[in-house]
Amino acid sequence: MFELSGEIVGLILFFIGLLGVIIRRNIMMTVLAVGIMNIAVVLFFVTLNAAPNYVPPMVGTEIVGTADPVPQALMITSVVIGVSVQAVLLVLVMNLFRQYGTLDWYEVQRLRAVEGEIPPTQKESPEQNQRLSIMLNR
Amino acid sequence: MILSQVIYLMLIVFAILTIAASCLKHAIILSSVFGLWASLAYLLYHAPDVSVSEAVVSSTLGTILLVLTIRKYTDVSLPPFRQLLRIRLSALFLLTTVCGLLIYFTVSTPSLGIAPLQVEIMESYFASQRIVSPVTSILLSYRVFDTVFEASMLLVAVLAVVHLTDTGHRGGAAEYLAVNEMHPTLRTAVRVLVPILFVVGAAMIIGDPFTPGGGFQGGGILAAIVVGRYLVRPYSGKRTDDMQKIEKLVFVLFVLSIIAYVLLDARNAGIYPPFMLLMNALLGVKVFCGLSIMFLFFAAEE
Repeated sequence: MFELSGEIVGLILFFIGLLGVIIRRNIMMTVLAVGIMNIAVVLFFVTLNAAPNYVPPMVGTEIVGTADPVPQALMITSVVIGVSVQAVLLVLVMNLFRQYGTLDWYEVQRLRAVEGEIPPTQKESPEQNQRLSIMLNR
Repeated sequence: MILSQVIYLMLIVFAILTIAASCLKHAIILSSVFGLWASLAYLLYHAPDVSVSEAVVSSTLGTILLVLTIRKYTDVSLPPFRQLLRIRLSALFLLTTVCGLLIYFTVSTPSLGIAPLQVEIMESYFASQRIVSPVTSILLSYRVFDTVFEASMLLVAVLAVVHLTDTGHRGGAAEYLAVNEMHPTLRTAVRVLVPILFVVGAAMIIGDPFTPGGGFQGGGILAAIVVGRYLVRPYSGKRTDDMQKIEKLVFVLFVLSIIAYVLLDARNAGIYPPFMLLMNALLGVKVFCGLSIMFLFFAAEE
């Protein structure tokens, strides 16, 4: 029987987060999806040189069978940096919302293009754009 | 075995639910639950320090920052996920293929065995006086310069939050007063939780070599007290001014203590344990102040 392990789940979660970044058009959802990717990376690193039948590094008495403390120390750094990055992202999102009144990537891009700051860069075909605008204006 | 499979399945389910949510508020709460399952998964791999940090970050600070961000955002509904997915179906196929390939390569790669770095660190840990746990000793001794840069990054993030938030008149507290009147349960819960959190946070900062703990985790738990207290009795913004001064002062002291630690070659001179405790305490105060200031500025945002 196929069993899930931490490495595999970490990889799957990373790609779920990436899918969220690609598909979602709301800026807050992008922030949440990046958070999922962060957790996935942490999970993958924590599984390095560790297994469920090992013992935690602080109670270990011999090296074999003790979880590796080095990736754990790295990942504590990563978690703290993750929350700092998220806080800065959220402040930027707030400022963006205050200025444009929307949290939609494409809508913000359109509004900025109207202001004449940057040209719009729409990657989809006209047909897709039309479908999307019909859907979003429901 | 079954427990671990349940935890992994729950992680995947909550990740999918988060990105497929039809409402922004649902998505935030689901991602918070996802973080709690993730902290359980770290426990499975015997990383209690990472687990504690993740639980603190995802259940209190991260979630409350997200909620405070969207409180002015009235339209929290999201376009249906299936329609968005249909437009970008090619992305789904591409990502599934790459994910499958990576899983195949990960599973088929042979284990490399024990890393030399782990052997060296664990041997020096067994030979030491066991004042702090090995994870903390890596953070404060082996990777001490990394930790300085991490603390400075937190400081930069706090400065960014302080300067980018618009706190015209430091208010934003009125709506929470109404919550307080409606929910005596919240007030009682916070009153019970505050002393527990304080003891746990302080114990984590002081550190015991056989339990998880360290400056970051303890500082995070202490910052959770600030969040809880704020929900019951909103502070005025003036408190953050003193806290910012303390944070900068502690950061300077932390950097000075590390310079002294490196220049004095303290580890070999036999004054290693007091230095560790000092740096751990400074780091704890620094993280506590940083996270609290971030939260209070978000809460005071108009």
